[in-house]
Amino acid sequence: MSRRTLGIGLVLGGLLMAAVSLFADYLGVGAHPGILGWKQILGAVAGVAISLAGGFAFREPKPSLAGPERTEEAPEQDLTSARDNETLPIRETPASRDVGLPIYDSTAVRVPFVHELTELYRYRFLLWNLISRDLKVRYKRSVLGFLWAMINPLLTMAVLLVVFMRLFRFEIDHYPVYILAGLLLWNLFARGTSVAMRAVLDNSGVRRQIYVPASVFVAGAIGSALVNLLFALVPLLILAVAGGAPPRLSWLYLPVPILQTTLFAFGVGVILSALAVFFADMLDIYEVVLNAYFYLTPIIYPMSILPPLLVRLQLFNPANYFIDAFRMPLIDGVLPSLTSVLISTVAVLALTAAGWSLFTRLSDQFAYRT
Amino acid sequence: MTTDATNRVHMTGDDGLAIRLRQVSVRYRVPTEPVSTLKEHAIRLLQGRRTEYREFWALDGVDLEVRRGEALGIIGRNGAGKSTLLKVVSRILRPTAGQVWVRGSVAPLIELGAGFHPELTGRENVYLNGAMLGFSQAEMQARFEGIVEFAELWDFIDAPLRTYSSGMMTRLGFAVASDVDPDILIIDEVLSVGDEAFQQKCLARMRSFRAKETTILFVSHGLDAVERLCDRAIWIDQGGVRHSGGVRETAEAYLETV
Repeated sequence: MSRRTLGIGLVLGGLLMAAVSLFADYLGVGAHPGILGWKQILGAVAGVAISLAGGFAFREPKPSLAGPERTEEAPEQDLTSARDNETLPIRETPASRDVGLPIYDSTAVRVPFVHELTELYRYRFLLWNLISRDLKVRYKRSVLGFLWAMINPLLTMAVLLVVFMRLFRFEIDHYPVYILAGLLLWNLFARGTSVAMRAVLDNSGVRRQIYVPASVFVAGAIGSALVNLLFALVPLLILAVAGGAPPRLSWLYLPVPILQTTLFAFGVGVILSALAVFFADMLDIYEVVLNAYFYLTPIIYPMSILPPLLVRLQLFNPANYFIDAFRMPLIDGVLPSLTSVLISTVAVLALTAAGWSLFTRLSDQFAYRT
Repeated sequence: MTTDATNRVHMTGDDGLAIRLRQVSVRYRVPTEPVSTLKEHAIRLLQGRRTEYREFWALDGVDLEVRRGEALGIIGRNGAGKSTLLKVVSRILRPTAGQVWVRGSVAPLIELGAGFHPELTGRENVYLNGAMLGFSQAEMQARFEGIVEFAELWDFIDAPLRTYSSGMMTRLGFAVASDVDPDILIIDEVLSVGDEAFQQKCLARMRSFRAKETTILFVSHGLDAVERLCDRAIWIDQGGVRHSGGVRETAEAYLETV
């Protein structure tokens, strides 16, 4: 019981700390109203960390059981056996081997939204294996190996630089970093979602033979896109320093837009992968949509060249928020405003929850369709 | 909540039962015209036409009970529903109607090497394949030596899989898939792998599963193999259980119609 109380206390305390830090301005204790300050961010991060730690403390220790199916329904089993003990203290068990074995009941009531999350967690080792497989396969046979993950975006940037600086003559400070930062975050989204879209279809061969939760493959696609981005951060930061944007404290904020974009990609990825199972032309449609999206978002050009209508539309474009929130601390050393961070985060969370809900509702039908 | 209660009632009455199917049906809907694109759906919607489907019942009201430690052979023609039956037991398919109830972990001895990647080494593939079967990194580390030993591939384990012969690949696949220690083992036509010596090893491993009281579901066209491994057999025809009983009598009933 004490473990529970401690856990709950930590979760609530941590959340409170995070909330106070984030809303310091509104509570009247913030130093610079309207700007997210350092102490605020540190406080928020620490608060979330504490509440996460509380969550882990709160979790019931699981009995360690071998085998894939065992861990699966083990908690449920614990519940029933615990209840049985209370109501039926003496229960004859002639076949003692049966006790404690997990039970799968196809008619059991379950919430797909939650169930698939626990399944994803249970198959986390597969997730790591899929991500590392993608990386190994991608770079194994090339001479430069993993260096390609860093060289590739640099080369793309060089091409764009030549084209846009020479032909269009945009006036942007630190234009190389501007382009590269935008491209990297965009690639995370574009590559992640395109691969995720095919995840369920491509792995139908495996899923025809063994049970593997479909969401693992989607998460794997996004995960490898994220790892690729992490590699490419090295040349980006070097380029930033070389281009006259020295390392600053504000760089500590960079993981936030990266994570937001990852979540965004995952949310779009689950929707696409579910739709692709039912509609074969999704793959072609999305290619066109993605292309249009790329050119409508200020990635390689500045916002200032857009007509007013498109500028207004950017208000509803998560990619624009995240790329902007990625460039500002990197190039100008400024953090995005609290409102923009909150709004974009909430919007993406809602999108991901909706996508996850759609995906988990349909996932039972995947095996019938692929 | 209600299912939870009924569950418990069954549990007390079903000691020793490993698998129970009640009126299990699986329906595939096959569209009579090919409409699988969004474009075609949109056009249809605009025209106000509805897509017509032909229904196909791969399983139709199947009742089946398998006791723990039993080896059940499943025979029947192609397309009779044998593989679909295995799929509902191993949770790949959720049945359209009816209840599938399974106690214990289920592992399929799958078509060997599903999910293998040619560019990865044998070692990396073993870990990847194990993870697909639901094992953690630590569990696979503990099993790794035994797997390679069984597959007799120590010399090649760090070479990419594309350099393997097909025999080596199936050996590795069988070694991984059969190294699991499930309560219920599902085998779909795989016993004919490798050379004579390796086949002997496979058979020995099958027998060790039997000795450990592992429940086995075995689908095969080879009636001899079914007879050697199983205590009981069912004959599936057009999605239903046509005959159930001893292996020999079921096989004879089946052979009469062929």
